[in-house]
Amino acid sequence: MSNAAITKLRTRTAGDRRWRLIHAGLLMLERFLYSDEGRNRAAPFVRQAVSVQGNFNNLLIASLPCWLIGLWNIGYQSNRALDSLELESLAGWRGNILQGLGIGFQPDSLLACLIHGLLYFAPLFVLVLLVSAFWEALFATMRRRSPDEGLLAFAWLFTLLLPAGTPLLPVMLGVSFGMIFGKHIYGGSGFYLVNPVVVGLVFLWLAYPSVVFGPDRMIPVSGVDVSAALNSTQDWWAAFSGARPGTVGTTSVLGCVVGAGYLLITRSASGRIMLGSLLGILLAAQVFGAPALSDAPELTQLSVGQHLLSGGLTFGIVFLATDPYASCMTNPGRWIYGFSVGILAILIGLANPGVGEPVLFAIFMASLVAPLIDASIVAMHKARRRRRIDGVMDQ
Amino acid sequence: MKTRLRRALVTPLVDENPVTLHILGICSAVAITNSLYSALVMSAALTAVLCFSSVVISVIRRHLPHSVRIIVQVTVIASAVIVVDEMLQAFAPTTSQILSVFVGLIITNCIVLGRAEAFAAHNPPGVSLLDALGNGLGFSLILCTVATIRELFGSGGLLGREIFTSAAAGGWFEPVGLFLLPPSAFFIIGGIVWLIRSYKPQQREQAEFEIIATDSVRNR
Repeated sequence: MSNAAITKLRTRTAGDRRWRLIHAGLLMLERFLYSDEGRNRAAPFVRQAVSVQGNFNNLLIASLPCWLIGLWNIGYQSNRALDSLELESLAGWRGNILQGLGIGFQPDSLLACLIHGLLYFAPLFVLVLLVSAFWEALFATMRRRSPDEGLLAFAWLFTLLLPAGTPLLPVMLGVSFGMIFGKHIYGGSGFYLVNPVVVGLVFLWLAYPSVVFGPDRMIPVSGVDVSAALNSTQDWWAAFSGARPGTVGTTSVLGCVVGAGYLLITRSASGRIMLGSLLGILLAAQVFGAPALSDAPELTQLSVGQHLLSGGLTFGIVFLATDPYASCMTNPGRWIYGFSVGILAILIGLANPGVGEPVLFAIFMASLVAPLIDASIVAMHKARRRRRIDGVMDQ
Repeated sequence: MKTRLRRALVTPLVDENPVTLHILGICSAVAITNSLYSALVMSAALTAVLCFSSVVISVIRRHLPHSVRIIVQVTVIASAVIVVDEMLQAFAPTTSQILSVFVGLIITNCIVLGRAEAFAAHNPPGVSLLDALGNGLGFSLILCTVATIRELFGSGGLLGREIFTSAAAGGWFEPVGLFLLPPSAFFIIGGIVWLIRSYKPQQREQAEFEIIATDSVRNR
């Protein structure tokens, strides 16, 4: 349906009390798909198809494959765990719903796995969205500004990086930390130093590594041996497609690659950052992969491909490292920034195997120096131009 | 005169707090606030050193040549710190081990030299003593607040006594590991500074840049 069709429908429902809910829904859809905020309605009439909101929406749309595979994966892992424990059904309200609807717990059934996954994803996402919306509304009211764009994308990406069986209270703390100390103390979107999703998750990794991200949270069935499940799915296809225990949306490298393609086609994210990260990972895995340099001999045996397929490394460099505000703005700067994210991700992982998601810490550190990289690039550019002008003047 | 004395004692508590307004003494506030006990000992040690050095420097303020005053001030402070350090080692060896190098580092604590240089070097001993006491108490106030938050949420207890039963022992409380790490003190001190400056806007610094609300452009 094109923009014009939605607008036509919306104007037809406008002003009629009976249709006001549908009208509001259409308005939201229109805003989501074709946000015209950022377009100038006065002279000089600069019009741009991509708005800030549109950019965040593209991020969200790009992560849909990861999300769908992730939903299926949660259900698949849980149902397989139930099978291996020879349980008929899951205890608790999720089990009751699945049984009441007659969906059952077959790991082979696509629908059963998807619905099962959704029952874990939905409460988590709603909670993250509500908490972040609360802070957004509070700061917008305090500062008398309209709320920032990207709230939905924040909540969405945050949830994708959490394990399905995580307790809710720490998650609320992590979201609040990300929103307050990652975003709003700097003045909101466009001013923050590090992607707030990364800040919130780094907080959770430091504060509650085992409570939030412990292996028993990855498959939310009590009594299952996750390490056995982790070892049994060490084949390449499972790791690539995402059928392995992990956080909600980051297990599927396939989904990340599709998402990266969408982001690059819509030009919502910088391909230089993604390629730079890839180069950094390639180099670091070659150079630092020697067992003597690391505390974790089993990690140094991994090839570059295995590094890319493990944890949320690919998800991080596609969706988080490319944050338009926290990454570099100059093109050479983007290469350097991406390259440092890649190298740091491997180095942190090798030096401290206890850090579960080294890419988050790598992005955190690289984002902090991103303004410095940009400033150096600009200074070098200025110096080069000055030399050229001076050369012309001397002649 | 009386109001001046009271002001010297009271204003450093909140209005001119050395930690939250002047942002001094942050390193010890970050380093030793993971338990309330060490924070209390540190506060006492710093307050004692501050009072002693301020009075001594105030007494000799007219005999100090201007060019060597900093050296003399640091010598006085260092002597006081060494006495405190030796006393701790003699009478409370375990506490001394917990605080390790940080008692010695009171010498470099900017609050001590700052008060000596900014106040005691120009004022009579009585009011200098009150100013030193006020600043010591202001520092202690922040230190103990931070330590209380960190110990309570980081390990679920206060002064070694259990307050929240941890989940591992059958309670509901999940210890927040981050609060035992030094970075958390930065966040907490930052939060306290934020809180105080929202309550007392006159403490706010002039903004270097004005954030232009993009809404004004966008919502036209």
